[in-house]
Amino acid sequence: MSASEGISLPGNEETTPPHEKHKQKAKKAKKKSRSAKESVPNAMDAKATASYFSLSIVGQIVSATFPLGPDKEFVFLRYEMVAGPDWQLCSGPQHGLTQLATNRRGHFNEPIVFNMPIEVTYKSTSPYGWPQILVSVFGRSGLGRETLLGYAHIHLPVFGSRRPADQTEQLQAPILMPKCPNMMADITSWLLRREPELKDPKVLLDNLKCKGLSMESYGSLQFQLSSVMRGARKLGYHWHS
Amino acid sequence: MAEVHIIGQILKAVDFAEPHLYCKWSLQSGNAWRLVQGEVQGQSHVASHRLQSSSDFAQPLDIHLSTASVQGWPRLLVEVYAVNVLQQSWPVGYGFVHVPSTPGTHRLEIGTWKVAPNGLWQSLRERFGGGGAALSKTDLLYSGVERYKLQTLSSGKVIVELNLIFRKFDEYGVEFK
Repeated sequence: MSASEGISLPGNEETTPPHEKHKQKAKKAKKKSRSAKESVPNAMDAKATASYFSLSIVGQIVSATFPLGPDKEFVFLRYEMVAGPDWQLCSGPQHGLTQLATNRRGHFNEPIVFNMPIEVTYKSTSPYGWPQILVSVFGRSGLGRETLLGYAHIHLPVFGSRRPADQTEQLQAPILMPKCPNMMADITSWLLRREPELKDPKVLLDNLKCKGLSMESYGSLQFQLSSVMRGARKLGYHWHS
Repeated sequence: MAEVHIIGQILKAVDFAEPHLYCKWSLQSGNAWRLVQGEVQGQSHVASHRLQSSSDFAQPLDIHLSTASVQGWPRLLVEVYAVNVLQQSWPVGYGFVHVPSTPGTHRLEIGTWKVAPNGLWQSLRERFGGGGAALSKTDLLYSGVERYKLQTLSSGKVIVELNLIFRKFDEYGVEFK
């Protein structure tokens, strides 16, 4: 009897010998990670070609905080999920747009609450290209003019939520705003009252393409995300220490 | 072959004297390690903060290595450069850290050092002339062999967050308990 039947929690040592992990046996198993919420159990029929593991992320973009207040009255976000070539989005939207939120009625450095739900499921054969969420923060003044306030990106949580001890701790991502490359662009942007935007914000996720860019960070986004993974231990991955 | 996935970000640099910084990083490992997917070096954008004196790089790392031996465990080398108004750049911090050897989430702080100026002229050049001295051979960063001739000053810290996923290590008898 395989020890991986039923719920596997950290502390339940896997006593199956290593070579059995790679034998595909038809079995029903329910696996949850540390911070798993209740989910409908799926029968995991292990066929010979089933070498995917699936990752389900639930959570929200909680709020945006600016220490001296946002530059514009209303703030809204546009988020996009970016993942590597091995990853397939099974369910959930890849893009999203939040509401226009403000904190003008309250104190200027109160967090601007978005409460934007994020629920996606990915399927993949390898952890390379782990999905990231790339958020573009836009501001809209009272007169209707929209400009960019910055970009923020984080990896979706790899191990459940951040740390098991402090489940209420939120992931913070700094908001980075691109600066004008030269003096002419600075003057033009001041005249037209529009900040420069990146043509393709995915440049920030690449290791070599962001070489000449100059960014200023101001403000941060708070996320609360947790992940449920299924099928990774069968493929031999050591998910928890 | 056992595999290691390194997924994370070089988050930020704190406690440096200069405001505009960028970071060049590279991941080095021994002969038994092979890169399967990902890039082992990169350069971030120039970052500064509006209010504090820290620089947020947010440089994502996603590296897939395969190995036949535990020797030559990978190291992350970091070089922090400062930029001035005239677009000149000079190194203000060198540092490295070994990638942790247990799976899970790790938040690492890399303490960095820079080459100390050797006299009045070099101090003035560092302050006003766009930079202090740089290392000519950067393999001094990770080897301890010929360091005794070098005079260095402590510099700021680079904060890195890494998630490590290991695969098939227990087939080879390596345990992480």
